[in-house]
Amino acid sequence: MPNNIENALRDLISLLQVIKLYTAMHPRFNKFLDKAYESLRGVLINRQEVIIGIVGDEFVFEKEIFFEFSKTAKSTISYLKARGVEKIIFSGALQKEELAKFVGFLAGDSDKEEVKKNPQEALYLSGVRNITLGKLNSAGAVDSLSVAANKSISYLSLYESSLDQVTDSLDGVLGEQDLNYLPLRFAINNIAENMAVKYNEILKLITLKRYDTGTFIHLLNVSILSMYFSTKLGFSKEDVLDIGTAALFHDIGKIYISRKIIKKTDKLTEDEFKNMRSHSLLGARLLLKHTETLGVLPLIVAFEHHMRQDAKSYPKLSFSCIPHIASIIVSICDVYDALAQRRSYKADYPPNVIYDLINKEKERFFQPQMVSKFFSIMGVWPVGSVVTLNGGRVAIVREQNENDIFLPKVEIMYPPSRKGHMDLHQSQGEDRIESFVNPLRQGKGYLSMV
Amino acid sequence: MPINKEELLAEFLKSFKIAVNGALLYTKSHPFFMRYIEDLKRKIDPLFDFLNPLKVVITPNSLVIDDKTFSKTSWYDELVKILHRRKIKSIEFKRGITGQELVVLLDRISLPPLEILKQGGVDRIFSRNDNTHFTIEELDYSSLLIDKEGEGFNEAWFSLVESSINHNETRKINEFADNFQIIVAKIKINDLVTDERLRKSMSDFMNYLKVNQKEKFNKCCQELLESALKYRGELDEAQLLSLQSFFIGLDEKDLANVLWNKLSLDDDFGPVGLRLFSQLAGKDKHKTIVSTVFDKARDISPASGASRIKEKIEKLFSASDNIHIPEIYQNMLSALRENSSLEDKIAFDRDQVDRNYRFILLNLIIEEKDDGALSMLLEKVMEDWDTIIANRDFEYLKNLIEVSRRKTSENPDCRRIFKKIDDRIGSFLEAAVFEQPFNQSIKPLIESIEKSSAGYDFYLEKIFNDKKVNQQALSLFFRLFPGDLERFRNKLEQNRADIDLLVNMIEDLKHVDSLVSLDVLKYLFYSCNEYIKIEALRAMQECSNFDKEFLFSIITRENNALKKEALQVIMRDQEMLKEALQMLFDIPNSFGRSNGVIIERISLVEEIELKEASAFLAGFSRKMFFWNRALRLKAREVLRKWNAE
Repeated sequence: MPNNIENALRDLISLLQVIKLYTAMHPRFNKFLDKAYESLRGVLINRQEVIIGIVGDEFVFEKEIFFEFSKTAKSTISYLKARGVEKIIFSGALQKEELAKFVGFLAGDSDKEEVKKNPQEALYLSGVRNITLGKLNSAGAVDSLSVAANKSISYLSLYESSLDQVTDSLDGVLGEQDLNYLPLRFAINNIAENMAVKYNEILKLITLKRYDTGTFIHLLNVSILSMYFSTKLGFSKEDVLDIGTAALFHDIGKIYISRKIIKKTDKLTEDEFKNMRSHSLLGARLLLKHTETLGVLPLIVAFEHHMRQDAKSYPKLSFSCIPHIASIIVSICDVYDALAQRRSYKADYPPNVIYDLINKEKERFFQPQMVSKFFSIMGVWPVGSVVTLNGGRVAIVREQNENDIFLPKVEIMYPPSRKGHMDLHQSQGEDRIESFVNPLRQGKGYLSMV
Repeated sequence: MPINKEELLAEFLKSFKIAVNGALLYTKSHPFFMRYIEDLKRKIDPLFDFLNPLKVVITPNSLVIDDKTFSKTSWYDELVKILHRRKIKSIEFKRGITGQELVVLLDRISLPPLEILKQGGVDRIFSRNDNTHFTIEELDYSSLLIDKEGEGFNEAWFSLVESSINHNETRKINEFADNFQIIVAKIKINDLVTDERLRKSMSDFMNYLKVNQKEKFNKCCQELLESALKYRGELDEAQLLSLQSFFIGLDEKDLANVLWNKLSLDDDFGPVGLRLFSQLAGKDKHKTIVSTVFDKARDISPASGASRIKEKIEKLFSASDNIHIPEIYQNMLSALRENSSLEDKIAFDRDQVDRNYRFILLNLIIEEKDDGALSMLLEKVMEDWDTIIANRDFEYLKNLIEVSRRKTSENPDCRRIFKKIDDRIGSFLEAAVFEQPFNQSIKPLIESIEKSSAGYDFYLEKIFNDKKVNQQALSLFFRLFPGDLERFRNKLEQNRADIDLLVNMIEDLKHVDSLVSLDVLKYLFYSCNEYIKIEALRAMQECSNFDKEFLFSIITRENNALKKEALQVIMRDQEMLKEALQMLFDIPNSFGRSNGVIIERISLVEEIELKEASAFLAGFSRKMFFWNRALRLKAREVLRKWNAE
């Protein structure tokens, strides 16, 4: 029985992912619907109902806890919990149409008032009688976190579950295994959707996560930045997701070559440097095996993301072509995030220095128009940065200012008497940012406020 | 007993209604029906004292008799519906109408509406001259269009159109065209793509208009497209193609008009409609359409609804997440939304993704040393073969050829790995060389072919069976199969009677301009008729190579027409010309025995203005003796003519 339930859950999750990515009109949806329904029916034989719960980050059924499966389904669990779903009850009389409506409901707009207030009622009104949603009984538990904190935790959870998915996928590619693309795409899709609504929250996370030296954090950051940048350029959702996915794999060649080389603290030897330079080619080769699942864009970005505007790039090309806009976007985001990260061979740079460095080299390395566009969107001081203002004040950047990339909207944290929000652009030069406060050093005390 | 006109009319109409019902329920020989007919006759006859003829006009909602409207009771309402559905505009009864005539009338109008339409309408049904005391007027067909009943509409449309086109009823067809917008709103697009008959009738209608009424054709096409864009479902490729065929006649301006109308006037027009539009409009027209619509949108003033358009665009743009719309249209929306120019728009180019991928494959191939990996990379290239060919990406083919050369020269063992792709490229190019018109872009690629993949018979098939020949194909054929012209000549022999083929071939041989082509021209000369001989010689006039012996044999043995052409070849070489003229004019001529021949030859040189013969003519002009008079005169005449010029 536990296997049956797990299979049914797996099929249900796949169905949810398909409807999120392809819509209910797509031929793939019906195929997955049939499968999920058959699985559920198999479970419902001789039972009046099946109750699946989400406790913490795990799927549970009666006495069974699906530890391993829950790990792979982390992003889906976050997704369901964000929609207030902690319990799903399937009744024996379940119809296939109800299952379709149910996943459609889950995939729909969770911010609608009627859904937020009472999802079960909203589901019932949509014609689903044999599936019930609910929360777990939490007698005695006191929720001491504020709504804002809850939201932050959910974004963090989204980030971390996505990171897990990214890690699995990249490890899979590096280990030359088959790639299960659907969960990865689903994770990216979740981020993109949340970014459409709360991009500042996500960008804030990136700023903070930059100080985490986890292996794939940089890749996820670049992916998120690239998606944000693409969205602002007006690309379609499909294109944004493709770029986000491609960005995840842009450095796969580098990772493959040797972690030992990367972690070296002294200078690279000639051979080692040659190997590093060829990582674009190697990355493209690795991704060639996955073009059917990932498409060709990751391969293109992996190959092109170091191509320079002045044509002195690596890899040296026998046959040249103009780099694709996706590669240019990822390239800029890659450098931007990397400059802010601590590496074994360099310190992290403050945002204003990053801006100067990139701007100085934009003619040589990048498309100048794209660099300007990037900073007009991101601003010089990224969201979540801790900064000092004139007059000894300390503030956190909360939002970019479209009118001035140097003067964002901030929240003053210190001194306590000056706490409050301020639009630096509106103060007409009286208030300005003086320096960046590194959260790992002098800015540690402000991290929790971010 | 009714005594006034109104009462009589009311009685008549009731009786008429009952009779119509009876006709619908019973056969015409049924006693009940006969009874109803008798009653109707009894009711109608007295009316003729007041109204003769008695004309009953049927409107969509009422009956009108003698300017009086009868409606709003169940008696009349049902009767109106029955008659109106059968597209009867009026029935005129005359005094003296017989029971039999009433039977005929009611029997025929009780036919099902579709049956009436199939038979061509009431006009046609009652066209036989057996009803002298009643006249039926058929409803104006435009009324069909405003009929709110949609059931059986497709069937009706089909019948009407077929009948109108077959009988060349211009008036009816014009009516359809003028009211097409209403008609087409009733046709389901789903039916149009799945119902073969409906599709054919629509196509016949459009073709008729295209030939006879171009303006109406354009209008109807646009209206059909506007209606089609309301469709919300998914169409597969075959269905899209069949729908697309209706709009091939629309140019970019027409299509832009349609899109603009949808954007500016149709509140329900959304991303699904926009996507369908992009699929139906045709890829090659997108750029101009977008540019035109963009300009229209930018030029619109606030008073004319600029803010409404802006709202619409915002709605389209934000709703387009799950619907794939070509980038060019997304960019248009985005640029309009942001009030920027189209050129400033940074676009995600899907075509460039494919192109860059292919170029990366080339770079990977060049770097690859491992045979297994190399084979895999070439397989990837082959997977994209159809796209490369469909996009006519000859630049890429050129690079592919270069890659093959470089790799096989670095490592000759690679030749077997590249064989498949080399053969594929070769076959493609050998087939492409025969395409009409010849694509100049492949010329440098053709020159790279060293060996034929297609084979000798392929060329013979193309040239002599498919009748496709051009200078590039011939040139390639001669290069790939040097010295192997036996079968080619045999084929020429077999096709001697195909003048068109030979003339075309001669034209191409002229441009090939090689020793082999000259050889073929000579062969044609020897084996074909006079016309081809002349054509062959004319072609030689433009070749850089010539055969002296061959030409001299013509000027000495052949007729004047051929001599003339041969001389024009010889003219290009002064030494040869001198010799030729010597041969022509320096002939034994004692007592003027050869004067006739010489005069002929003088005419020849006169015709082609071969002034190099002047010296000879001068000599002839001074010839003494009476037997040379004609020769003298001819020579002088020509010299005079030449000197005067």
